Order: sequence, then C-alpha cells, then structure tokens
Amino acid sequence: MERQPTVIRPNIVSSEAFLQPPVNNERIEPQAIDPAYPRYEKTTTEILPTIPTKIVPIIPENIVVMDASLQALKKFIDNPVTAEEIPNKEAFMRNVFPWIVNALSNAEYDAAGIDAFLKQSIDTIDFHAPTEKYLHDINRVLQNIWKQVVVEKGATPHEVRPVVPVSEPLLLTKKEQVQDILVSSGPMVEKVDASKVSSATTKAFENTLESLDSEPFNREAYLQFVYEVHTSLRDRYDAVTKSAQQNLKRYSEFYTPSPTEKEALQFLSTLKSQYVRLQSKNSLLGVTRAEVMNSLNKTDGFTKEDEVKTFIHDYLAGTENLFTSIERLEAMIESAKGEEKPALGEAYRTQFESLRVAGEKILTTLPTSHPLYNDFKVVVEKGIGDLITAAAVENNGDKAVLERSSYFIILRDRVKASIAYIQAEQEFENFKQRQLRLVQTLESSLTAGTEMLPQEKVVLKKTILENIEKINHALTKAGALPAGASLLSLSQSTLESATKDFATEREQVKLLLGETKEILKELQNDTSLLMTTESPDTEKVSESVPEPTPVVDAILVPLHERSQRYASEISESAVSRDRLRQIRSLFKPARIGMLALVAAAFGSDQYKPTNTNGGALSLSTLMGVSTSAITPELSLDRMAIEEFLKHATQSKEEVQGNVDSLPLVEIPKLTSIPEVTEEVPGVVLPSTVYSVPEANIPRELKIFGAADTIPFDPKMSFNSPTQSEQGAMYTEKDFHTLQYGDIFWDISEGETLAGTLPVMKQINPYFKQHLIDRLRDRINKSPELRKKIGGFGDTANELVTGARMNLKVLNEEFTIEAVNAGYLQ
Amino acid sequence: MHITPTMMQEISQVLQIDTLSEAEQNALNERVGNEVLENTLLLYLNGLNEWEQSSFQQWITAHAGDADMMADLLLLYPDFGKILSQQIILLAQKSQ
Repeated sequence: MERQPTVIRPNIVSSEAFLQPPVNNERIEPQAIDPAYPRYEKTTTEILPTIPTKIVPIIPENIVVMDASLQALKKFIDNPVTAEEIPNKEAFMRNVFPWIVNALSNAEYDAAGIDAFLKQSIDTIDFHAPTEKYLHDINRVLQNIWKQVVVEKGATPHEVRPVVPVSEPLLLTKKEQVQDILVSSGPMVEKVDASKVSSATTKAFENTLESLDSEPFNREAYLQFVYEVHTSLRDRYDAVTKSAQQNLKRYSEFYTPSPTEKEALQFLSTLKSQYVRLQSKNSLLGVTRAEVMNSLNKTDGFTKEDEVKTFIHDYLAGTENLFTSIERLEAMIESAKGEEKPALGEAYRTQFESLRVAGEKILTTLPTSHPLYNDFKVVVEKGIGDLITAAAVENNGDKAVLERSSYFIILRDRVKASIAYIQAEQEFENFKQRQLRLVQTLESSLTAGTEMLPQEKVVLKKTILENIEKINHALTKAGALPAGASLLSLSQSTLESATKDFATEREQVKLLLGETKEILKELQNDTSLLMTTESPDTEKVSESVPEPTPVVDAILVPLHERSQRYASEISESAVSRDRLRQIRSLFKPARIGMLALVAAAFGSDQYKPTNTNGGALSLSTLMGVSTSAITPELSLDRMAIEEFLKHATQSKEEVQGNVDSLPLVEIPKLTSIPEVTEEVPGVVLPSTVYSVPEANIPRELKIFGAADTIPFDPKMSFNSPTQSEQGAMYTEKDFHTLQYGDIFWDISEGETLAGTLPVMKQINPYFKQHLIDRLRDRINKSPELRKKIGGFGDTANELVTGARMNLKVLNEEFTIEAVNAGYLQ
Repeated sequence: MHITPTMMQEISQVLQIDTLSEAEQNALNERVGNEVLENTLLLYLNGLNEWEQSSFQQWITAHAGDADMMADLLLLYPDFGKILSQQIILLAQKSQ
C-alpha cells in the first residue's frame, strides 16, 4: 500500500519563544490542543514506515512523537553530551530519536525526506564503537541536523509539550542525569517515575508482594515468594541465555551477525556480568540466594515482621535491574529473530564462493610445475563448483538422505584443508626467501667491514655457513612434499599435519636466523652482549630503571628470554597485532606485574626472607591465602593467583603509562588459515553431485546433521558403557575436583567440563549444546543422578567447589542421552 | 582481598624495590605486567576464532573501567584466568 507523503506545515513561533524557556511545563491533555492548529503529532506507527529498518528496533512502540524540540536540540549543541550522560547508548538514542524526526518535520521535510536524511545520518553512527567515537558521531549528527533544520531551512522551534507519558522503561543507569538535560528546556516526554521503570515481571511480583503485605503476616508465604522470585530469575536467565545462543549465533561461521545481533550479543555479556554479580558475595544486593534462604529459615534471623518485609522489598528491588535486562534482551532476540537470515544453502554458497576466490588466487600464483598443481586445479575448479551446486540444490529445498551430509562435510573440509596446505606452503616459501636474503645481506655487510681480525672473520663465516646449512636442511625437510600424491586422495588429517609441519619448520628457521643475526650483530659492534631484538621503546623503559638491582636482573633476564621463546612459539598466531595492542591497552598491568615479581621472588629460595616471627614468609601468607590451597612445591598455585587477581584493585601508585611505548612481542604477519571445523548441521548432498571414495571416509567420524528428523529406533542395539562398567572401580583420574570458576554447561563460555568429555568428540558440534542442555535438564530433575555423578548441589547449575565429580559416569550419561536424542548411533 | 601496606612493605624488601624511585617501581611493575599479559593474551586469543576474539575485545572495551573488571573477567573467561596464572607461575619457576 502506498503511503501518501506527509506534508508538514511549518509552525511559526517567535524567536523570543525560542530563546525563552517554556513558560508552562505542565502537561497539556491531547484534547486541549486546538484541532485547527495542528501540532504535527505523529505516533510511532505513522513514523515507523519512514524509518530505515535498521533503527526500528530501538524505538519503543508506545512513544508518541511530539512537536519538535529544537530548543532541546540546541541544548545538545551547546552542551555536547559526555560519556557520563550516556551510560546506555540505545536508551539515549531512543530518547533523542523522536526529536530528530520532529526537528526535520518542522523544517518541512516530508516523509521521504525524513527517511533519506535519517538514513544518511544514522548510518554514519557506529553504535558499537567505543563511547568516545559514538559521542563524537552523535554530536556531529545533531549538529548537522541543527544546521539543516535551523540554518538552511529556517525553521523555528516552538513550545514543547508532553502529550502522552512514556510507559516504556528508560533503561538509563543514570536516567535522572540524562532526563535533566532532556527535560530542562521543556520536557519532551513526561518524566518517567520509578514505578514505570520496573519490568513487567517485577510489576507482577510487586503486585503479589502487595497482596502479601495486605494479608496477615505469614512467614511461609514470604519464604515461598522469595523462592519464586529466585526461581523465576534463574529460569528466565537460563532461558534467555539459551535463546540467545540458539538464535544469535546461527550459521555464525558463515555470515556476519547483523547489527541487532551484535548489539544483543554485547548486551548478553552485560547481562551475564550482572547475573554473576548477583551471585557473588559482593553483589548489589549484598546477599546471595543461599543467604536469603538461610536468613528466612533461621529462627534467629529475621524475627520481626517489619524486618522480613523490608528485606523482601529490598530484595525485589534489587532483582529489578536484572529482570529488566532479561526482558530487554528477550526483545532484542525477538527482533533479531525477525530479521531475514540467509538460508542455510545460501550461507554455504557464500562460503564456497569465498573459498573459490581464495583458491583461484592461489592457483594464479602457483607454478604449473608444482607437483600438486593439477590436483589443486581440480579442487578449485571442480570440487568447489560441485559444492556450490550442492548448496544451491539444498537451497531449493531438496532433502536427500541425511547421511549423505557427512560426505558433503568431509568434502568441504578437504577442500578447505587443501587450500590451507597450499597457502601455508606458499607463505613458507616467501618466508624462506626473505630470511635467506636477510642472511646474505648481513653476511655481505659484515664481510665488508674492515675492522675485524682475520680469526674473527673465520669464526664468523663458519658460524654463518653452519647456520645456512641448518636452514637449508630445515627447508629441504619442509620441502619434502607428498610428491605425486593427489590432494584429494590425501586424508584430511595428513593435510592438516603437513600444514602444521610448515609452521614447525618455519620456527626452526626463524630461531636459527635469530641466532645468526645475533652473532653477527655482536661481532659487528664489537661490544658486550646486546639484546638485538630489543626495540628502542624497550630501551626507553629500561632507562627509567637506571641501575636495576641484582634481584631485578635475575627476574628480568629470564623473563626476556622467555618472552623471546614465546614470540616464536606463538608466531602461528592468528591474532592481529592491532587487536592485541588494543586489548592490552585496556588492562592496567602494574598490579599483575607486581604479583609476577612477588611470585618470582618467592618462588626462589634464594630470595626467601624471614618474617618478624622468624618463620619463612611465603607467598600464601603475603596473599592471605590458606596454605591448603597452595601446592608445597611452588608455594603458590593457580587458585591462589586467581583468587588474588580477582580481588586485586588499582593502587594509587600505578602509572597510567602509555602502553604503546612498551615492548611488544614480534609476531610475523601470517596468512590466516581457515579452520577446519564443523559447526553447522549437515547439508543434504545428492549422491550424484560428487563422490568421495568410500575408503577415505574416516569410519570413526559419525557426523549427523538435523538429528531431529531421525526417528530413533527403539530396537537399535548399542553397547551402553554402563553395562560393561557395572561394578567397575573408578580410578583417580576419572574424578575431577571442581574449582572456583569452572564453567560447566555453557560451551559458549569457552572450554567447559561438559564440552571436553570424550563422547563430545563424536557429537556434531552444532548439537553439543543441545545435548548438554538435555542432560542438564535430566540432572536437574534427578537427585539420584546428581548423587551418582557427584559435585552438584541442589540443581545442575550448583557446582560445589572442592567436590569431586565422576567424569566417567558423566560421560556415560552423556552417551546415553546422545543415543536417546539421536545424536549418536 | 587487598594488599595491605604491610604486605607492600614486605614485598618491597624482598625485591629490594624500595631502592628504586616510585616512578621506577611503577615502570618495573608495568613492564613485567605487560610481559605477562602479552603472552597471556597471545595464548588465549590464539585459541579463539575471529568472532570470539572480537567478542572478547568488546567485553574488555565495555568493562575496562569497571572496578571489579578483573574479577568478572576471570569468572566469565575462566580460560583466560588459567592462562594468566600459568604465565605467572611459569615466570616464578623460570626465575628460580
């Protein structure tokens, strides 16, 4: 349906009115407005079609856009927004947005004009940028609007009146501050009172609490109420995090998340932090769930009716933020779900197109004499083409036999591995050439030197020759390609290991060259030992410590050596230098440095002092950690250090140094090698499209795609591990002692206990979390199962630090669950 | 747990850091801390894919100013904590 463009008539208001603050800030009822004098009030429903889709989700449905507030806009221009005023970018934008629309309306922009202008302006704002950049963007956009509206179009603002209060909560942490600014020259919207900020869930609980308060005091009822709040909070949190995981990361390997998804994911991490804080002793509430329950249960806890009531009211208020955040994330997820996602087949097609581009690029540079040229050509020209065709077929909804998907996945991985192999080889060749040139240059510059004794020259040349010999040996070894072998007939693991070999050999060459370079430099300068790889920046820092003490030497020298070693070990890193630099700049390393120095000093008997009592002073006593948590060999362990780090706060002495001036480990820029991992349900591949020799398919690899569509055959026989292990004694290695900070269920958090169980290797990664969730539900419901596995509290989510968990039993339970769910045969 | 002034004194004695000026002490702490962090970040990020690295970076950016940033970081990214403490222990062993 076509929309008629909205014609906006300008409102004429004297310049005095613009300069003067509004005389009357009182709310004017909608019916009080003279219909003959249009105020150009538009509801969001009217505005929405004119707004680019991208920004729709941030506009609450029930905000009524009122007359333009150029005064408020001017206020912004005169007082650029600061970081403190925008604790929440989205909420801020939501407040500002209607103003912008109205300002444009006032300047006689029609709907299409507003649309175009907004698109142009808003697109230049990066909502995910750091706050400073975002501030810069938003202030720039506001100024631009001011220029367009007032300077160029000559519009004048008129009085701003609230028409309909906003019932949508404003999620500003410092909402009063922002609202002061927003409302100071005339409120755009009615000030939101505290009760309206609460979430729907909190409101429901508040109502329940009110009814509880109005009844005669019933301790049990209050206890039940707190339990319900807790349960609800936990369930909602679990549900929303699960939902986020399922809905926001789909096909993440294949396409970039949309801005809404990114925003939601970012918010998810904020929510997780909030939740973690709530669970911690130092939570905003100052209580943990267990403490609440204990307090209410104990007879010596809250004894008076008033105390119980006050406590419960405070507690509910404390959970409000979390409920609000959960609801907000739910809305974001819904919004993200509504976005059009590329079909799986399309996602695959895009991926294969990029593989083809990478492959073709390599093919153009690969000499035809290369032993693998022909095979690689087949891979690029036929293999990838077939994959694309297969993806296209799938995209049209052709559902072939499910098991065929494993052929498809294997083929895809092989193509990926082939490309990675050739890339690694080429990159190594380049590296080799560069390094050889470096040696030659050094050699020639050195031999050109005249101030060297003949004996020195001989020794030097010998060393260089030896090193070159070693390099050549390493290169020859690395160059021993699987000659004559066909890429397609090589197993994926062979290709992967060959790719890794290149990396290993490159390390050897690098070390040898480093050694050569160092010898050359030492001799050339005819000075004492120089750390040749030390950058000028490092020296600058060293200068600030003019005469390091022997202790400092003892610590720093090996540290430097180790750093060098790591530089080599991690040179395969796919981490970009910029990213590393940026992340590191956000840390305040001084406290970690101090801990490291302490650890280094106390790790050595040589520097172990005695305390005033004459006993040995250990790190544990320094850190106040119980000695039972510390291994005798080291006097410190991971737990102790983590515990320390958790509570380490910034000290006054720390210098906000420019971290960029500090030494950075040299990381060679490498071509990133695509990971050969499978995170997507199998795609159906017709058997006619491409055939892979049966013998090449690893038999142990059972990858199943959309397992939900496989009916589980109850007659299917399988060897349950529990049957064979009945009565078996469990060895010590079957047990895991739970530690503080262990992540158990959520594999998105990185390596988890559940995710590393042996059975997981046989599960399609896409279904791992589903499987984990299924078992978690079962463990939740079964106290017997919790007891059998060990380590759990009252629920699957409660892990008892220090308790022992039988991972073997857990693995067995996962196996059973996987078979039942059809993820495993 | 916070480091008390007494602890600071004892640490300073052990390290003979008190012979250095305050700026020098800070430079030393910063430098050693950076060395540890550098390796930790490299090792940790190296195990993540591009998207995870980006997510980690965003979290750090968003929470860099938090007073309890480190505590949250270790809770939310336990692997990072493990690597960090390993690095510190490695350093301690290396220095013996």
